[in-house]
Amino acid sequence: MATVRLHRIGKKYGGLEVIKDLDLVVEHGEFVTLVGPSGCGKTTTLRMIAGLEEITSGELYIDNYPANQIPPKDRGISMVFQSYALFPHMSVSENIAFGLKIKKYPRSDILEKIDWALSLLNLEGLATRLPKDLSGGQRQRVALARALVVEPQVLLLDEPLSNLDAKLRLKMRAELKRLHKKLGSTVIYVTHDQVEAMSLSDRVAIMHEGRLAQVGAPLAVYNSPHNIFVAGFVGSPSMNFFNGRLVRKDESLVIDLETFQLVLPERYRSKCTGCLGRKVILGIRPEHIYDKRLSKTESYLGNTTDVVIDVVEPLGDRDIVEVKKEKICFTALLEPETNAAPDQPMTVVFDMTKCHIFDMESENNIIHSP
Amino acid sequence: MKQKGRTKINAGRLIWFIGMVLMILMVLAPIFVMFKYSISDRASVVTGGMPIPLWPYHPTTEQFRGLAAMDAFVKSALTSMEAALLAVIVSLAIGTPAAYALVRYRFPGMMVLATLLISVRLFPDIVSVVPIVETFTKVNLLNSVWGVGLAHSLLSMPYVIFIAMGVFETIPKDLDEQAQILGASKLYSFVRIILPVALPGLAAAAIYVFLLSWDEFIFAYFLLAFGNLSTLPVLLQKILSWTPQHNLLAAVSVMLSIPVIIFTFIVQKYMQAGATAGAVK
Repeated sequence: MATVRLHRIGKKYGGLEVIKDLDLVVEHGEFVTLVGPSGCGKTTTLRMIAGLEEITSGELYIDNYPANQIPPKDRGISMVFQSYALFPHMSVSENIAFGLKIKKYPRSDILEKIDWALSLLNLEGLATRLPKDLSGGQRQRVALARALVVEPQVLLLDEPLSNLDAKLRLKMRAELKRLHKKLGSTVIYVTHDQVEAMSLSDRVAIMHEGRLAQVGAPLAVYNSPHNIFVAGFVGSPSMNFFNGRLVRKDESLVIDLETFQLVLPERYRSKCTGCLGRKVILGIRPEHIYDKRLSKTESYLGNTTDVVIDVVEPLGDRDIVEVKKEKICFTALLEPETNAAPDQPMTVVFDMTKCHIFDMESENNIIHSP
Repeated sequence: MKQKGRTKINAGRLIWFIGMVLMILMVLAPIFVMFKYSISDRASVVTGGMPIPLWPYHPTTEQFRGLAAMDAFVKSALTSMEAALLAVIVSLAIGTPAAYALVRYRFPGMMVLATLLISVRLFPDIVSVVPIVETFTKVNLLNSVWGVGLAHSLLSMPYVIFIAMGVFETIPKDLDEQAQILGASKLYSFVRIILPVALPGLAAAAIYVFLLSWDEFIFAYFLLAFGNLSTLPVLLQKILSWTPQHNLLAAVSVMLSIPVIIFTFIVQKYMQAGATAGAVK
């Protein structure tokens, strides 16, 4: 196990700068996920840590040693590729033993480690099978076994679950979490799936256009996104955004959305007064918009508006309801008891204590600034 | 109505069936004629104006026995075999790593190099035969099986490289990188991972080279014409020059075909589809 430290890491392909000044520290035994939309540079970053991609600028430290020039095999890392990259002509146990044989482990040790890996990942009985005779989930576990058996200081995982079907993905997600708890290894995980990132990691590092948009614990990132990108990226269904203007009305601060107005809670006043009169973007998650008839909390009552239901997507425990208010469309996550039906009118309540306000120019969060 | 529809389908199928039979006949007819002549007795070939029978009057293995007893034939067959195997070994040994480098590494002038490799085959053989014979004469490769093998590997190299490039392109780069991370050197991962996975495709290339060398005439002729060695095609030309009987020629042709069939069967074992199955996903 080791720490991994990225200091002002940059990557250029010719004139194209794909990673800019990346600073990140992954602590001993920590599970950190690099997450972002495709093309944000997360896989490139992982490949730089692995040594498969040259680092254009900045320094990489693994276990406090400068690692920029160290070849991949000497970095003490293991990597599981998105494609699993199993050697097709080798059996499961030969695949697992590959790294050990190269490192010239004694035969008895190799056999012992194969057994350990097979039982750790529930692959007993599959040792002699070829990859083509395995299911997707089994292949994935073989790839994981092959990576773990060499006892890496750092385990790098590149979208390891993305080729599995939805149900198996959930199962393997839990499996990965259990495995990390058991082995306590340092893990750097790459995914484009924010739910996966949130559910697995100690900390998530959200990347956007080659930069780190925010790093933090999953809940911290969810509750206080530093900018619009993070706010929109984290959470499903994603956050609603409304263009508005911050104005004073009587004693309180109000966001004027033209078609309706929403009152900000008292405690945001100090942070927002500086932006008075400015154009802002209001962000509120679908789960913080309620049906007025079912809402028990009186304190929201000032912030209601009448809408027309557009589309209803029932999930069973919740309904994703898209509603319209004149030209404005937004999404609410409502309880099934609402009995929402298309084209029905209803009144929704905004829980403004959970809202976010972003500066329109800088796109930074005014309430939860870094 | 129903019956009409059924006849329609049957008519379509019939046409398809007849087409298939015709095609099979087209492919098999020359082989049949060759085989028939090869086992024909003299009376079935020299009929004195009578139509040649569909099947010989007295089938015989006389021609084959004659060939087997003919020193020149046995020697030429061995020479052909040696030259073909030499061509397979040399062209694969050089062409395979070259193709791997062209596929996996980016370097300046790569496209130029790749294009030059095919351009070798843009000239007619008869144009390149003179400089090659010239060069081989200087290095004492005239009248030797080595010379023929080398010349054939030169001819087949572009094909080997292009077939092998196609094969390597289908092998995901992830495999190389995974091996590298697990501690393998580039050579080790090429020999232990990439080559075994590429084997089926390379087998196809080997068959191709073998066939090319086995019935290649022009280079073999120019390189061997003035000595006492010949490959089978060269021998065939020598036999033809004293106007032999059809049945003897046909027997030589059959003998030319047999090793090709055997070699193809041996190598085909490695050509099963889906060798890379399970590597990714």
